Amino acid sequence: MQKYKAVIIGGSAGSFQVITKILSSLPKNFPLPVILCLHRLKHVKSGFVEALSIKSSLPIYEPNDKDHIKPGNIYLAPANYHLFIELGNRFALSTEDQVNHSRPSIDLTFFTAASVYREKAIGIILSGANKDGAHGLKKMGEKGATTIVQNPEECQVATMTKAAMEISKIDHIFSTNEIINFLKGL
Amino acid sequence: MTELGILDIRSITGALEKLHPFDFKNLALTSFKRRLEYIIEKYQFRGVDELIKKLQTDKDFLDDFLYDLTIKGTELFRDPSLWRTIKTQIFNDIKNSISTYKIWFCGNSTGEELYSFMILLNQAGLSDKVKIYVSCLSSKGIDNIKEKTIDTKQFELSLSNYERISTNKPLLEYFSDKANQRTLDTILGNNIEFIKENSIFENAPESINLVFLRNQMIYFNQILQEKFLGLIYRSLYTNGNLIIGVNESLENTSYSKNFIKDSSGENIFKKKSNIR
Repeated sequence: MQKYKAVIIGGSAGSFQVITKILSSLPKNFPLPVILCLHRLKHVKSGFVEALSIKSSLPIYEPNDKDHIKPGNIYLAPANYHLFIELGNRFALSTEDQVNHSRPSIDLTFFTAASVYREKAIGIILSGANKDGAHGLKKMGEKGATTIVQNPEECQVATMTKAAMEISKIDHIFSTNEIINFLKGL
Repeated sequence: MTELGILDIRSITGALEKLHPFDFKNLALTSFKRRLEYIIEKYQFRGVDELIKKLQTDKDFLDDFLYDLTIKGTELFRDPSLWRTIKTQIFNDIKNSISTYKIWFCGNSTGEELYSFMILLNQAGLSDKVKIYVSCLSSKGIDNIKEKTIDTKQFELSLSNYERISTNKPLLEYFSDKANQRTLDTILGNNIEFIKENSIFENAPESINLVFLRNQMIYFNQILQEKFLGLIYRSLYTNGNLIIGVNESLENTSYSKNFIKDSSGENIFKKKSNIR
């Protein structure tokens, strides 16, 4: 039986280039869905998926409510919605208030991934300027998921990764290349 | 914070079924669970049993519960490009309509959608040409919408949305300020009818030209989405419009064949015909 069901990545300021590099390195037959929750501008609805797609060999989608989560697809949390993982392997959206001044909030995507995937998920936090994602990654770890943060020394802004490391024990502190190698080994 | 399990949620929906006709068991699970946890925290219940007992014994609390269960709006003119299309296209339909143009705002418990619409309609001088139905799960939600107040905390976002739509009268001129609240002056006329949703499937408004259902179905599972879309489909005239949220879709429902998406690219859908 497959060890993992999904990779969930949270990022904010300084994460765009890291994400691009990761996406461009994943093989065409990557066996898992990759779910990206990135802080982004509310008004800019289009362009982000296109920008990420330029170098990715895998298709990138902004999911609609109740869309199926499929392996080998990259999903980007839409602007101005929270992105939840729902039972039945589907996404669900929410317009509830911002969490950590963010919508989408990385914490909420991670919380719901923790409930649904439990130990069968990989949670990754990249460069970012606030603390969103720290509690969510902690929750994922408590449910047995594999937790990874980008090495703070390598981050453009290390607030987010450091916040995650402060409140829980992270399985792996990886450079971008180490994250890529880990994912390619799945 | 208490974390609820599936069995907790089932015992709450089981109790609710005996108290209220709404289909609680088909709410989208993750959001429903989060709202229940929020309610338990807000009222300091020691657990699910205490919440259930309060629901069973206190009618006023049931209404508060229904109000707290719904997600509140956070900004006026959310998705400015949609409102620009409404101003041209929908307003044109209203202008050219021979009879009163009927609009249904479905499921809101705060007034952002209604207020946004009424401000623009007022600017276009079309307020007298419409009849509006607002349906709401709780009486508290209806009172809240009638009060016309908005939290000033998030007004910045509303202002920046508005700037992308209208160069007309400044938005603040429609409001007067008191303490932390901003109140919309007049505008809501007596052509607005409020409906409680407890019997919506029996008393849905009929012959509707336009339904606002933005970001409501995201809180339903697919069974309830089907049910609600059926209700709205029957209420709409042929060629009537349905507006849903930017990242909502009809594709995951059986109604995708019965509506055509608008050419503007916005999530405005036209009902094809009465035959399914």
